[in-house]
Amino acid sequence: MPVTSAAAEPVIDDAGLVAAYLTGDERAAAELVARHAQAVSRFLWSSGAGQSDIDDLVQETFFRAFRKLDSWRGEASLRGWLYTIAGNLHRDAFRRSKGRQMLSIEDHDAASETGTPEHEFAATDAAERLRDGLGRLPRLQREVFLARAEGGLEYDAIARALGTTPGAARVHYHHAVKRLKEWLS
Amino acid sequence: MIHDAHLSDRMAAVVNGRSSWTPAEAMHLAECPQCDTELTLLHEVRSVGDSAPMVDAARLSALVLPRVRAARRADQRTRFGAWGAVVLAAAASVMLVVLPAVRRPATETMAVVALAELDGLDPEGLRGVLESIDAGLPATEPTDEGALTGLDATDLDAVFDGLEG
Repeated sequence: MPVTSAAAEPVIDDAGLVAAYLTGDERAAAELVARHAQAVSRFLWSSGAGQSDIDDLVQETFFRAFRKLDSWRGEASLRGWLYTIAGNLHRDAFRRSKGRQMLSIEDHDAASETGTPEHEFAATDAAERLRDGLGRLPRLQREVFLARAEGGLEYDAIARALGTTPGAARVHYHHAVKRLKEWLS
Repeated sequence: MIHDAHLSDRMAAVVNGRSSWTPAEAMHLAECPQCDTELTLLHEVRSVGDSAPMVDAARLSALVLPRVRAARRADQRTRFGAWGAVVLAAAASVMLVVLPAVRRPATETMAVVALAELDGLDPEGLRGVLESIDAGLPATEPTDEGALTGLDATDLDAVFDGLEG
């Protein structure tokens, strides 16, 4: 169990928090939410989820995770496992909406307080283009790539979370990098 | 010598602030356009993530945890209901087997007793029983379904008495 400093309270790792929650300590669950919710939001956003859907998807991710927390294998990364659940929910939501997605134009119309409007638009446009490229990746490539880029997970942790091998995860990542480079160039 | 694959494997940790480049890695990065492009891509993706909607974790917990509790209570009720159905089905099965046995007619008991008595007979005794059975039956073919129809009640009683020995 890692300790930040002699005076500070010891930091409990994810496995410890999960074990505490499974014995009924809901504060442990709240700590898990605080620790991982923003990362799940980032993951979903980068995967192309709409702004209005993120809140529901994040909530549903944690609901599903807590319902089957006893099936989480402690040796797999909890964040990677949450990414997998979030990815499944995003896929299901996308299928239900049949790919229809409302794009907000307010951000483009708003006056910029820093830089020129054209610069702001270009930066936003580049980010949207990257989001679009990520959304076009095959699902496994996207999830592996985001687990590395957003989650900082190593290949063995990604492999355990996604049910694949570290070698396959590495191949998916490099395919994703190649496709994104081509899409953006 | 630093290879591209090695640097690629290290990028996630560096981009996420868990590690930093060694001098050798930094030198390779400065000279390798492919590695530089990949690193730039990772930074740009993280910038995209920076614009993700902010999550109110406390509010999220307040919404999720009661839902989980309610779902677990519903699971327990479902499990209780399922076990109740199993117990009822088992009880019904037991009753179906026990009740007919309790109501078994006396003739079966008598048949068991009669057979036990026959077991005690010697060959002569058995022959006598068989002859009495034959004597009690009308002199017709066993397959003659009309053989017994012409007998009155007294005759039928005589036939059955002969059968019972």
